[in-house]
Amino acid sequence: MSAALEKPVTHGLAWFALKQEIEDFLYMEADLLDQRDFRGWLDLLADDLVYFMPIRRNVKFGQHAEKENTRQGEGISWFDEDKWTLGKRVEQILTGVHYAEEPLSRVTHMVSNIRLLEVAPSVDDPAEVTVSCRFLVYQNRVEYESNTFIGRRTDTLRRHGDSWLIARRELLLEQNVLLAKNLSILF
Amino acid sequence: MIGIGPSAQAGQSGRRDNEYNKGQHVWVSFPQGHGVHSVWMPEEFQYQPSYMQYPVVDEYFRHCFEERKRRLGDKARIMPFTGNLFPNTSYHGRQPRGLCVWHPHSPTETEAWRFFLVDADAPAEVKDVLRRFYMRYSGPAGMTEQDDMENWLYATSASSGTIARRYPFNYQQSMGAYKRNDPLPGDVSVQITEQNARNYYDVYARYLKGDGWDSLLGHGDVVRQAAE
Repeated sequence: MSAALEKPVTHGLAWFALKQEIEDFLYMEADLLDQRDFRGWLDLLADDLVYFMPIRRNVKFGQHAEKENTRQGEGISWFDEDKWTLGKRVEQILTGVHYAEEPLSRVTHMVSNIRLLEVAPSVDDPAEVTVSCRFLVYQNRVEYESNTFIGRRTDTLRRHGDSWLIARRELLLEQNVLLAKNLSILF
Repeated sequence: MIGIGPSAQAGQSGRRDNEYNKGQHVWVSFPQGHGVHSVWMPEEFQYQPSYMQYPVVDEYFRHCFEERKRRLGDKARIMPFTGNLFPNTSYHGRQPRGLCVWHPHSPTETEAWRFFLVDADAPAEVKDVLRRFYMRYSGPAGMTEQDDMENWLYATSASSGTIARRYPFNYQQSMGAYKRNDPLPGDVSVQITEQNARNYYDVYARYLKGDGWDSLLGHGDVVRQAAE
């Protein structure tokens, strides 16, 4: 992260064009979810997707790097999933009898603070892009229930024809105890 | 029902493997307040393939099954499903395997801590499959459990209403439909029952009344028999 902060802001047009393309992709993705096109959303996921949301701990000063977040591949996190399980989540919602999401929630995904952290092999020929952003997801359910999920997100996107596939998504929800009663929506 | 269990890719529907399908479900309550829901398997019961989309895990549990049978003999026929150790520690016996400790904060609020169990000596692949299965099954993000809070919150709110509070809860399911120490130790019901809940609250009430240890620990079990 610190290396990214130190990058000079001397970018050429290709960089701005790529950033614009990535932003459009992320906004399009948010539209698919908010329009409840869950199957369309699944099509944006790479077959080897890693989808990870750690649980955050309250730790003593100085121990954050080591202990604050649960780790991918170890122990229990909110999500440490692959494309298959996300497909199952979608299938489950689409049964119409999954009562954590029936009736379906009203959801808005907002994405901001978009930054390209890494472009490989080059800005002129980008095959893989690591992009960080903030997310603000608003969920409203049935009559009176609403939840706001705010956090930081890092995605790895892979070039796929004239679009992109999400190969890795790491979501840092800024909560210790989950303040919503469940995580029935897709992030 | 869509397949979200550990054999879904092998074409099995449901949330778990069907490990209990040839057994007799039993609901057993104990004088100390514990209550379990287990399955009493037939004498000649065999390993039921499980975790079929992960052959290494299936093989591991086949090994555990045979080993358990060898060590426990006839007792291995009791397959744990769910249960509560009085007063506030519950378990899921097999899929997923874990403990839940319930900390009451008030009549309408409870804090729950989950502990998921994997065998320390299991191969790394087995541990990883179980870890992933536990996560996608359990808790607020789990596909099976994510509607639990939906139910509990609505039940809590429905129970707080003026009319609801005029009436006692109804715990009358399968009254008296159990046998003592037959075929297993404890009060055994072979039909779905609220006997475990009645027993739990009976023991809990004895604590509130300040009964002596003989009563609380069910020695002789006289009090409860008299009460029933």
